[in-house]
Amino acid sequence: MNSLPVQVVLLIVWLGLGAYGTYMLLQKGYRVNNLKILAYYVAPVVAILYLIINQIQSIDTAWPANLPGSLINIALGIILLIVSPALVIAAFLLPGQKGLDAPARALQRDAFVRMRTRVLLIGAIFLALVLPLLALSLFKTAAPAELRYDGVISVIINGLFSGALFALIALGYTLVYGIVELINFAHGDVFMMGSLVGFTVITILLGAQSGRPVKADTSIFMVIIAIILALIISMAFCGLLNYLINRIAYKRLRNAPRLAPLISAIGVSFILQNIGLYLISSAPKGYPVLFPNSTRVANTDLVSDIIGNTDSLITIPVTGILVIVGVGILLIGLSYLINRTKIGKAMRAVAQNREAAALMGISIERTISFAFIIGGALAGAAGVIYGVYQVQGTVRYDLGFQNGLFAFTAAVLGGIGNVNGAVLGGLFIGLIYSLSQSSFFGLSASYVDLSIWAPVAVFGVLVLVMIFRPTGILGENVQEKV
Amino acid sequence: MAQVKVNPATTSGAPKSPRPFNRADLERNKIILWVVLAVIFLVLPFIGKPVLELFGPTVFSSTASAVNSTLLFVLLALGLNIVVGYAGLLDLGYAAFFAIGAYTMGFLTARGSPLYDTFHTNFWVALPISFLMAALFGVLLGAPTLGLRGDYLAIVTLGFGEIVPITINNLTKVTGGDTGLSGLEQPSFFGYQFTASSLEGWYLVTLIVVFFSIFMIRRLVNSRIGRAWMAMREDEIAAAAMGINLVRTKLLAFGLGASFAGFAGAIFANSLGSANPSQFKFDVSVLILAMIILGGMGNLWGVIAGAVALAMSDRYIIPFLTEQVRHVADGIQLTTSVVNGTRVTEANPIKDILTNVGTNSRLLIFGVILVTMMLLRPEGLFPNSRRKMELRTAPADDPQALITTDPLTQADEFRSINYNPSDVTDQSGNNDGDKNIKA
Amino acid sequence: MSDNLATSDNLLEAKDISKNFGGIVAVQKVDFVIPRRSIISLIGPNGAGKTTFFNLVTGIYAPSTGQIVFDGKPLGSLKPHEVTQRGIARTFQNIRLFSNMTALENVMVGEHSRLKAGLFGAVFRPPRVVGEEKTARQKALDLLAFVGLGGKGDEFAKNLSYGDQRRLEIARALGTDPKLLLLDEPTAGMNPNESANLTKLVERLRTDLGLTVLLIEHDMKVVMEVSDRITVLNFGRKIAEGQPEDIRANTEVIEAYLGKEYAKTVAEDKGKI
Ligand SMILES: Nc1ncnc2c1ncn2[C@@H]1O[C@H](COP(=O)(O)OP(=O)(O)OP(=O)(O)O)[C@@H](O)[C@H]1O
Ligand SMILES: [Mg+2]
Repeated sequence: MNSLPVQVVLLIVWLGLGAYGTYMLLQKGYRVNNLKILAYYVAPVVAILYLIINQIQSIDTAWPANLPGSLINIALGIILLIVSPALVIAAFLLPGQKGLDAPARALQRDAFVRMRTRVLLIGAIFLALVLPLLALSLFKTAAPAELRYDGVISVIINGLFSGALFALIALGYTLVYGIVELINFAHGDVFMMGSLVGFTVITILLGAQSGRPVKADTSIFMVIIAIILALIISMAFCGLLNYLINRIAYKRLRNAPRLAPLISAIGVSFILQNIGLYLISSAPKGYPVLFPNSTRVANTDLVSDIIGNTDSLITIPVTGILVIVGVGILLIGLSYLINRTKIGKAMRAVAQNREAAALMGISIERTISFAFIIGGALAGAAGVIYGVYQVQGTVRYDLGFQNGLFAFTAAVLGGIGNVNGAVLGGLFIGLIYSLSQSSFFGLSASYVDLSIWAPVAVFGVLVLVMIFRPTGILGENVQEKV
Repeated sequence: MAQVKVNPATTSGAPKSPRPFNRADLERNKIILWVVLAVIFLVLPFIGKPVLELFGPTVFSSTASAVNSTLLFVLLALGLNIVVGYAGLLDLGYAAFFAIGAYTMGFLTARGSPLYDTFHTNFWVALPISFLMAALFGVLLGAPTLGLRGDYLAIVTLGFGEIVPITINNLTKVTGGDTGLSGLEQPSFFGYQFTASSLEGWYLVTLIVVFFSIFMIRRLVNSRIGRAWMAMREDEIAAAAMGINLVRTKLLAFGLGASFAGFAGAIFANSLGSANPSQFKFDVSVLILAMIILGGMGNLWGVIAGAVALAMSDRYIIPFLTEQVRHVADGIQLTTSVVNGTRVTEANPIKDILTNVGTNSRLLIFGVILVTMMLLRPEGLFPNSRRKMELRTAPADDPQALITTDPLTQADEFRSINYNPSDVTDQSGNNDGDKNIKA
Repeated sequence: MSDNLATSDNLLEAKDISKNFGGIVAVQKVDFVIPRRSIISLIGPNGAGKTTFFNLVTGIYAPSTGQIVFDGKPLGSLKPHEVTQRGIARTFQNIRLFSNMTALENVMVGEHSRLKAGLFGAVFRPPRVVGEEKTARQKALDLLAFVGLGGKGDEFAKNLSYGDQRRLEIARALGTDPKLLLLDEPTAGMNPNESANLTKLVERLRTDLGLTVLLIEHDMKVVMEVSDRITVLNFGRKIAEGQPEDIRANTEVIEAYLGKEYAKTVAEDKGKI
């Protein structure tokens, strides 16, 4: 599919939409709204993916010979993968200015300073993560696979994919924390249950076996139907499960000390893990391979057309598309829900000031239940997408523990209680995870298996963030009134 | 209220609180009680051994090893209680310090340790090094993070608790990876050679440490330091305004708590003769936390009771019960029939379920214990009389309580704002921890 | 008193102090001096920034601009406990006692920074520590008696009456051996009788203990009775300063409290008389 016109059109669409969106968002008095931002940037992101996918060709010639082409690719990569998210982030953070009185403008100035700090922080983290790799990939002649630019890019892409999943789980932590200030320890296990439900639905519907390709006569259409059904059932199940957990284990402890619901949550987490253990025993299972004929998206490349045949290392599993589409739709839906609906407004109100919200006639308990349901549904969806994406995506009883902690780390990193922060944090954690799994800085896989250090990297980041910026990237620093 | 003009420099005759008993008598009775207790505990294994062996050849050894690990858990719970119960710092990664103690002991005494050729020593030297090491790590982790709000501290400790065992697991060349360190050289004491099976010996060593810990904690709680911990737990801002250095006071609690875990870890590793990263996972941290919460945080005896109850359940009662279930499952005969010349064994779902339940129920039981405990008695079985109230009433920084600045408001109205009805009902029971058992 | 402001006689000098929270300017360019052994009042309508000023002095907040010199040395960015060790103690507007500790223990916590027992001392109790504890206990009992809580040492702080809690806060602050005592609305919520007693107590803080007192108070009767000098804040700015009689007559102050219209009628009434 080496069609130059398609790429050019996409590029123009991306640049146009992105530029228009950015222009609008930079306007004075423009009210920032996640839905609009997503509208402006989802299309470009899809376009970006398409472009990257189209860059793939064989590279078997010596590395330096490809340099000019590589530079172009790297530049593209930077623009596509870094500038674009940076713009999204900037847009998220920009305050509107219209119709403000003097003190409000002063606040706004403060907000601006805060925003600048955040953007710098985010930029710095991105650069710190990505630049050394890009630099290394340029200057190392006999670079190991992961050090070549395309290797780096695929590490980043995979990082963003798993980051998107962490983001989905992190949202559940953050929604609940924002409203009841409870670290819902059982959330990761709700995710595990979601994965399990999805696994059951898909294997039954397709008559497939754990970890095996689906039967040869299964049509793609059937597979997609099965995935969608699995998503719906799992979301419903996990929403209900989370609702029940709240009703049974947390509701009575609303006025108890903080420790009590936390311990209760840990108890629920153990119970769910054990139920998982009963259901699947301790041997891990995997989702069936749903797209056995096309495991990765690989195609031709704009650059390689110019400089000759190359063999790209960029590997994007087909299921990555599911991640992008699925997570994208869910995020848009969530954004709509939170910003546009009555119950969403109630959630925001309760998160800000519970007493005041109650005085305004908002039912606190109903709102809390709703947050649990939404969080559970997102975790359920994440469970299914995770299983499908990871292929040997081990369905294990303790799947929720570490992933839950990672997602929680993501929520904290972004600023716990902050919905945008959870998404941002998820992407960061995904990147960190993926980068620390790859063999960079000359340590090839045969020397040290870096993947075992990934959790240490993630938790190390968590500890560092807590020390240096305990409120997270987007969190507000509130001084306690005395 | 008569305003007596008193000059603090000269007066000392302020009315003393009435004491219906003689202090010296009380002290003496206490000491006698302690001595009796100590003697009972000291001779226990020597009486217990012949008695238990009447029930079967392995009953003594299985009971004694459960008792030994219970004692270690008591030690751990006492240490964590300093951090969580007294100083009010939530630590979700306490097992990390346990691991650090165990591995320090391992490095210094194991034959498999990379240090063995250059430097190794015996148990008695390694023991203090182990707990100092744990305390050092506690201080290193605590120093930058103890300024954080409660929840955040919980998260940092959780992260640390995950990092330590994973790191130990990954540094295969140094720590032996997931097989761990083994062949720890065990001590001898005036000719008595400790081995992994000298259960009485380990019992006595641990017991002495536990007794000393109790002594130490009781003294600490009634001292300047204990008061500072308590004040900090009640209200950090007021405590700071009273001249308490929050970071240092927290660090002391954190480091001291960690050193208890280091001590326990060192004894644990050496008594087993090995150390293994899977022994220090998150569930151990939670188990210890559950012990102090079950018993009643901040209450020394409650915590000990909680530790004994949960450790015995974990090491003795639950394994025993699940084993019975497995026995039942094993007893179910599968029916086989011969179909077309091949033997077919019929699936028996009941047997499968029973086997499953008998094998995999530990987490479920703990989960149920934790949840029901929180729902029924969030303050624990034997709440600290002070702590109980804290747990019952809404937090002090309830915004409602702050709106009290109008000078025209009558004093009585203030009482109704500041005093929660539950305070009033608790008032009568504040010196009796068991009063609310039926409530 | 106000004509005697030579530096050496001032226990505390604050210059150009400001504090803002986001868009709110809670304290704005306030200059403030407290002569030794004086009783100064800080008044102003709700939200004027009085408590914030206390928080700035005691190190709970860091000032956005300006500096505070206490006893000849700048406070800089000292932490609250370091400020207390220097000799500034305070009470809180919303009572912040250690409610599950006894009154006696509360005062003994106040003595914390003047005691020395460390970990070793606490566990092994050498004679030095035993003696120290004994003196500390006695001192706490004396302080309780001084504020009128003699005999209530074993009560839990939370079980004390409202007025007793306010008094206990003062005793606790005195436990820190302060040179300067900051009282944030000590009579809030007290009946007139209790207020009168408290007024006497404040005077005795100076006469018996030789303390310097800075008082935030809404009860004008108390303020007029005890103060050597009064400073008025409004919207974070200092709008007046002077002897009680001057402040009573100051139109800007009356305006700040009662609004422009009412201030006019008051002025007219005065003219009539
Ligand atoms: N931590 C804080 N964060 C944000 N705003 C604050 C904070 N502390 C105080 N303020 C604001 O600063 C202003 C001054 O508050 P302050 O408590 O100092 O007033 P006050 O003079 O003590 O009033 P009152 O007589 O009601 O006690 C108020 O508008 C208050 O809302
Ligand atoms: Mg105030």
